[in-house]
Amino acid sequence: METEGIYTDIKPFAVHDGPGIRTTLFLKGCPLRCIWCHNPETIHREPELELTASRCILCGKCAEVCPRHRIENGIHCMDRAGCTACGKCAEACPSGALQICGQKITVAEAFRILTADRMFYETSGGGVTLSGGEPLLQPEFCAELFRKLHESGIHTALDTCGNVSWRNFERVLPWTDLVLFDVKGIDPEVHRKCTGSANGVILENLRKLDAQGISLEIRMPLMPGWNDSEEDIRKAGEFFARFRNGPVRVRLLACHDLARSKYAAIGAPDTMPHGVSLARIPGIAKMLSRYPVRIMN
Amino acid sequence: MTGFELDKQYLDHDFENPGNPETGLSAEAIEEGLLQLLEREKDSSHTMIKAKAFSYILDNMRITTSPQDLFVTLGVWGRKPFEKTIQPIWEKSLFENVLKDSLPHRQKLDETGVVQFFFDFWHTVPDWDAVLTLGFSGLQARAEEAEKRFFERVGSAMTPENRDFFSSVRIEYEAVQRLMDRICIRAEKSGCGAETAEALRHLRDGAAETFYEALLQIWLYFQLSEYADCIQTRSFGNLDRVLYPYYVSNLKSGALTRQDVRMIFRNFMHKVSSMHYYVGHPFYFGGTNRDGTSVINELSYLILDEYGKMGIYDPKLQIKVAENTPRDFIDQALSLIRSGRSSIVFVGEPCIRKTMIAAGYSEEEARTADIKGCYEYSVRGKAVETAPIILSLPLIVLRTMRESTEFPSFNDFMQKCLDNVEAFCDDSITIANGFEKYLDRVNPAPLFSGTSASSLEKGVDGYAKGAVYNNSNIWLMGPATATNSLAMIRKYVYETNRITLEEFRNALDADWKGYEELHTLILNDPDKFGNDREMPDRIMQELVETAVMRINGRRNGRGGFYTTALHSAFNFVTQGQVAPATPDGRRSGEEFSKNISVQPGSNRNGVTATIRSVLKLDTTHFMGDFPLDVMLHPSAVSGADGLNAMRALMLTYILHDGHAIHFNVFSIATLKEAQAHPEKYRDLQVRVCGWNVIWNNLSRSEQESYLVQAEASGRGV
Repeated sequence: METEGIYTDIKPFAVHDGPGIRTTLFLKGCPLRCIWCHNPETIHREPELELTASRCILCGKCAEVCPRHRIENGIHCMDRAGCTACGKCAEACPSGALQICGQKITVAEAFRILTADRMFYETSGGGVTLSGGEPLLQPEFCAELFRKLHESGIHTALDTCGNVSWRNFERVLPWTDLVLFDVKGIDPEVHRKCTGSANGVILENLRKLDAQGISLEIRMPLMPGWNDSEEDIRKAGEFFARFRNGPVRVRLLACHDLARSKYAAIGAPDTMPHGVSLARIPGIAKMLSRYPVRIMN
Repeated sequence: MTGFELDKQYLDHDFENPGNPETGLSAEAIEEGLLQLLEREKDSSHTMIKAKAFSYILDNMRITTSPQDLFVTLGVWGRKPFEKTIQPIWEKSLFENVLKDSLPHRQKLDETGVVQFFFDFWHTVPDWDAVLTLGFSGLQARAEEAEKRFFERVGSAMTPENRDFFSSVRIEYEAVQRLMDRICIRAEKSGCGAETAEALRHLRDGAAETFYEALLQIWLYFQLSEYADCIQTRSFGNLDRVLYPYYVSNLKSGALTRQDVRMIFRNFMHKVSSMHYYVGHPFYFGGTNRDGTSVINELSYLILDEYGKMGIYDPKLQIKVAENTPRDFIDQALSLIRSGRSSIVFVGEPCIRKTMIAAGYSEEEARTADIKGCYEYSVRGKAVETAPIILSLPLIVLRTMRESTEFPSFNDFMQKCLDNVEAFCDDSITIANGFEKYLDRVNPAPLFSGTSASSLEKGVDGYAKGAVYNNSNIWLMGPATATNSLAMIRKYVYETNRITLEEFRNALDADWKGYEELHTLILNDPDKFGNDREMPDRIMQELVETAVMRINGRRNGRGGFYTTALHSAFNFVTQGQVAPATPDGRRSGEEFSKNISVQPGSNRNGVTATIRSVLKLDTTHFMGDFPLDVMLHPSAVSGADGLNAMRALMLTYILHDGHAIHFNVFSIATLKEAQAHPEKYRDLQVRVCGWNVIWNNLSRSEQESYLVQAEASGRGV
């Protein structure tokens, strides 16, 4: 049987997920629970029903196929308890307000879609990025897909939170041209507070990638008041300074709250803190530039 | 330029009431004089009347020279006295007399709304090299010499038309000389700068010798041709190429500094900008020299830099991109576009080259073709091209729906639609061939013809087969709206059987009222052109290629051929405003799709999918043009990554034989903010078709249409 992955979205013309023009495939399932998560629909591996209320035209077609939906006083109401994300309501919805987030895809189909933009990759030095969620929770799919892409001459980038077994990395690395590695905190407590998990495995994996000379770009999401103190940045700088293959490339990512509506769409509790870190980026870049790193912003 | 300082405020109001009243007659008096001239000269040929009319205008027009301006203002701007008086009389007379037999046929076509016809004097570019190297007096001398040679060659076979042609050129250039005398005297009196007075004297007596004189020469010719002779000069030309030798020489001799050059150009561009002409006046950069090197030079960077600082949208700029165009120049232009200067368009030399060579032009003609108008192109110095016909493809689909509800299959429907496309091509070509034969009788062009070596050689007006190439272009308007409409008919009537053709027609008649669910379904359907979906993309190919097969290579009325363009001008808005709903989900009154771009709101798979869809068409079949509009959200092109991506997007399109591409980079938030607070966004400009407009000059409904596109780009598509 052909290897399948489960994904939430395919984004063409992705220009901030590695070099050049890229297509990013977002895989579903993540071991971390970052409080600022911009893609909450990718956290759980199982398919979920997504409702974009602004698109709903209150036609009631969903209610005709599923008793969990009803239109009351001009409002679409939905009882999520017991919803199996069977997709019948999404099929009946004419406006695209209801959609199933989390579709299966074979390696062959993913390859076909992801290579459609080959001419843009060639002009721009771009390629394909696997992101999520955490792609390495689906290591076989990633490995097989990357092998096919790599063999056909397409640049491959893996965007990972790093919180997976090293074995999973080993499966994918032979066909990976670049690893985009998220660092959300060097201090274990800060990391736990931000993501719900310890960072021992993550940092160990990062050290191993460096030791093996894998092409790396560190990505640091910065949330004001959570992981952007001087102390946080100093620790990160000192950690990166010990890299064998320095100076490592570092990209600072500003957190924003534009993804807040995604939480409502999947009926998940909104954990996003309020605040935008864009204004702090130049100052943090300055702080970090005291260390042997290459700031990419 | 000793002591000269740019007076922006003065220049901004320069064209509000152009020309000093002491120096000539009012526009109304000139118009009156022209009508009297027409009456007096009624037995003369149109060529001679036109020359005398031009002469009368120049002898009586007001002029302004000022110490605050390095350039001269002629008082005919915006008034076009000939176009307002004599030309319409001749047009009417042509249809009522010479073409009276074809009038019912034309009226029948007009009633369909599918076809629009034009006497097109709007797409001509003079031989700027000849204008600069010869100057007015040199052009006149060359014309007189040509007349002698012509007479020696043909002797008594010289026709009255030939004689009138040469006389008309002489009369017009003599009038230019008299005008130059007046301008020189006025310059002395008005206390304008010594350099200006001296440059004007030089241009009266001969060809330009300095950078400043060269640009002044271009400016003077442009005003005379466009507003006195009423032959639109559709490009100031390849300015970085033609001005470069003067630039190098003047810098070397110390006659000018780079700061002087910046100042001169700034003055020139302000001058153009202050005309507030709605479709803009273009010039272009780049392309390839005869020896294969890139035209881009130090002057190209300097002009673009100066333009970027000015925040204006006219002149509009084209960058002719070839394989060897320096990347840093492209980046300089892209950076401007990212910051909102969207009046810059990229035009691909590879596509132009292949298209022209396939059509039989020489390698050199193909490589050095001039860009003109919005993004069109033609052989440098040898062409008079017109666009007499615009065909509305969406209206052809609607007509096909009205003809019958009994098409047994989609193929039958499609075939009928394609038959209609062919029939409209044939009928409109018959009509246009009829009136295009007489372009030189409606508006002869002695000033322009004097720049054309070919016209002088043949002894006939440029609009009477005088040019080497006399092609006519048919614009196909709204191809994506038509394609999407056909795709939806196929899907909902013939594939899913959700609705009959008759019901579909009723839904359109009701402007979708009562059919909201179907409307929503269709609006959300991704099977539309520009999403790289096989079915709609194939329909697009079939639709436009049917027209191409019917149009390309057909003989026109001027000794040339027809070519096809996917160009909409502003008609996608104006025709959309009066058109009923279409099966693609478009409501009555909404705009049609523009150029070869997607229908606003229909893009589901992003800009790369759009380019893939577009490039499935054979771009070399569209010698008129093939422009694509792309709207990008600022976040998609921010930072160094964004600039690289934007460059790659443009180059991918152009290196894969895309013709023209232009970008609008705006967030919906900015546009809405500008709607709410127009006073804070006076300079915010957006690209409409081949030109830019100030956002706040768009009507509310036009702004809303634009927001639909911006919203789509905000969703990452």
